Amino acid sequence: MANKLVIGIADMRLSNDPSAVLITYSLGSCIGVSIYDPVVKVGGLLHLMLPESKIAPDKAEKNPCMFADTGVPLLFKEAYKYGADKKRIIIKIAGGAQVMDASGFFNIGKRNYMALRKIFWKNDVLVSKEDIGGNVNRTMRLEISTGRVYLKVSDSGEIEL
Amino acid sequence: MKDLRTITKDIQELPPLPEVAQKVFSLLNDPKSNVQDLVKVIQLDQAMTANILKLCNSAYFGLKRKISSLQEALVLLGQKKLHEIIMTDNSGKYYKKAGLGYNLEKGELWRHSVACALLSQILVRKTGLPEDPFLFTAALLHDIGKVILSTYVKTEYDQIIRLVKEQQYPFLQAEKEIIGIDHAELGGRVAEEWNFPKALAEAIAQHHVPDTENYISCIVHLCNLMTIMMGIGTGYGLADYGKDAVMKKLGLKERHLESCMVELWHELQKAEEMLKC
Repeated sequence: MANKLVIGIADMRLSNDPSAVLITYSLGSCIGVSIYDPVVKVGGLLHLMLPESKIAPDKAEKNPCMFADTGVPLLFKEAYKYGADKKRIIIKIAGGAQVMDASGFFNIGKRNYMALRKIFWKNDVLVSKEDIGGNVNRTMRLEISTGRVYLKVSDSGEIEL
Repeated sequence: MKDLRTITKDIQELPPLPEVAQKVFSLLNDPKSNVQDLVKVIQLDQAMTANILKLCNSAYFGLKRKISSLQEALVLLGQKKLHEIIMTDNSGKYYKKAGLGYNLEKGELWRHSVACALLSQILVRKTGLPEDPFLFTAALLHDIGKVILSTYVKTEYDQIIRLVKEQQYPFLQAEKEIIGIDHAELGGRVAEEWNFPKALAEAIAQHHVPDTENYISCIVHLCNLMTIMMGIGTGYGLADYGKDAVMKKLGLKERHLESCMVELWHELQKAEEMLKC
């Protein structure tokens, strides 16, 4: 019986329980970041909302998971506590959708993605799989026993990322 | 294409908005009105009085002491907040079971509506835009058309979504093409049937394609988009247009939207009682 752990908006969970499944629903312009170390079999899932914490530093202090630049470092730090190694960590990301014709003011999805790329590049880590953009709604699920990540995109069936 | 007469007939079958809500509108419309009249109307309904007091005492308002009468509520929260509470208490019932046709879980359309209403107040407060007495209600009821149209959309969902996926239609336009009317237009008709003020009915009807001259519709348009981007009531995805002209008209920047979304997240953590309405 899978132990389902639900991650809300601006939230994050980690686990090394082989029966655990981490799931986050309804990623619009938000991005789900899944990390997994296949050796120690620990995984984490972050549901970030916005790119940069400078927009509300006090709020970022209360909940770092809200922003890419504070949430991602925290996700990795927590994984290290479980014995994860940066070199082994597999990163998969999904979300960052846009409303239509979002050329100007409504491109938060794209900005979330750009912020993530910058953070990963600076820290010398690579994203192994991603499903980003479009105007769809995504649900993301990480299986701790296998490290597999599954995606449900809008109303279509589930696919492996 | 459906028979529009059947759909519009469904408007009459919606339970009418209670007298107290109508009273709220007449008070908002009339600067000489007496708020005590409103209190008297509410007091006649014990269940409503109890619900309203429960909301007033919820974590959202963070009052230091428990209040036990509408008079106290009025003093501590003010007339505007009391109006908002009354509208919230009276609107939840319409949304509870609706939304399935829009690929939304039960309760998610209501969550989206409450989030929009809260966000409308956050946006005005944080950016210094003018307050409007009808804004909260417009944001709360902007998707009232979905309550009726949900059943029809459920039947035709495959056809609607095909236009969205294959021909890049915005959902609203696909809905109109397949069913013959979209949820915004239908919501406008509900608002007229309920004798809502003209600006409010227009705001509901225009929330996807706002007329920049209608201030409320511009704010509701932005709040709807922001909540959808946050994944609250996103259902069919983000197949809606974002109107840059609205941002320009209101003098807003991207950072305003972002900081309002942060604030909304915090307010929603305290709004559980409202979501139970």
